[in-house]
Amino acid sequence: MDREYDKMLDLLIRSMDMELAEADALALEQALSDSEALRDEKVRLIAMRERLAEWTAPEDPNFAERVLTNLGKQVEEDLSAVIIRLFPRVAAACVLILGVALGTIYVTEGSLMMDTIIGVNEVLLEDAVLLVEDGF
Amino acid sequence: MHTDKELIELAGKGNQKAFKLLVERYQQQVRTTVVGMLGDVAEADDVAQNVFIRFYQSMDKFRGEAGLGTYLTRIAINLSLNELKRRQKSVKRFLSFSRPSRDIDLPDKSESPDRLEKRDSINKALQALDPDFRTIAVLRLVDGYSVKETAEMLQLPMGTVASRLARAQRKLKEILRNE
Repeated sequence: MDREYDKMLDLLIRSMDMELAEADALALEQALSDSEALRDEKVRLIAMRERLAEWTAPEDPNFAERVLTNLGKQVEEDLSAVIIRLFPRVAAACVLILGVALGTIYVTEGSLMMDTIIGVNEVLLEDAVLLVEDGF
Repeated sequence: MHTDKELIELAGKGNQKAFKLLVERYQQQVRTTVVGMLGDVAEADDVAQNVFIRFYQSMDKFRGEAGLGTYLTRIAINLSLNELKRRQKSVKRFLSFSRPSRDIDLPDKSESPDRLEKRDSINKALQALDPDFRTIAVLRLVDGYSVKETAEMLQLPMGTVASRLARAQRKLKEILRNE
């Protein structure tokens, strides 16, 4: 292809998206008046750009509904992910609290028997009966 | 009619109807950008949906400096480029494995065959461009953003955008002339 023509074609394409420098604009104007091929190229370019500007994705009437459905699923998944992610930490915290509580009981009461843990080791059976009868 | 800002506020408070209205308002714009970038395939539908899901999840970050359409287009371009990278990786990984394309969109029967053919030829021409050139062609020629807006959106110098745009048009012209 003629280098000069190629240069003018480049200017022609650029002129459709931005303002050219004055010298370039004049050169292009001159080239357009001299070259029928360039004028044809301009017509083709404009037609192509119109086709592209009119082009859209095919209509999809159910799209918004699908987005909302997937959004709901995503929220559920996010919640599950949070629970799964937090579970080891929560479990570790529970074990720690239980350990501290049992340690405290052992230090203060000197035993880890079930009665000690639930706090009835010092309650006599008779007292328990009286408490129940009095409704605590 | 509610403004975007009002709908975003309502959606932020958990009003799904408001969010649906926003999706309906911008779905065609977003889908056109994504289909322009990825072609009319199932992945494009997934990506377009993800654009709105991402927006919903980060709605509080939207400050309204750019219009919502521009904001969503930016997310659409980023997610499409990620999808193209993912595709490239899987192509490299399974070079010898031919994967059937997941075309899902059945043609809209209300459209004339001529219109469908035109739509298809534009789509094929866009897909023939390299992603860097395609991104600019989609933003400037399909979505109608100016060179300056395109440059800002892609964080590229205007000169780079203009020269890629010129090359993209030369290639598109060539492909569409031979169709």
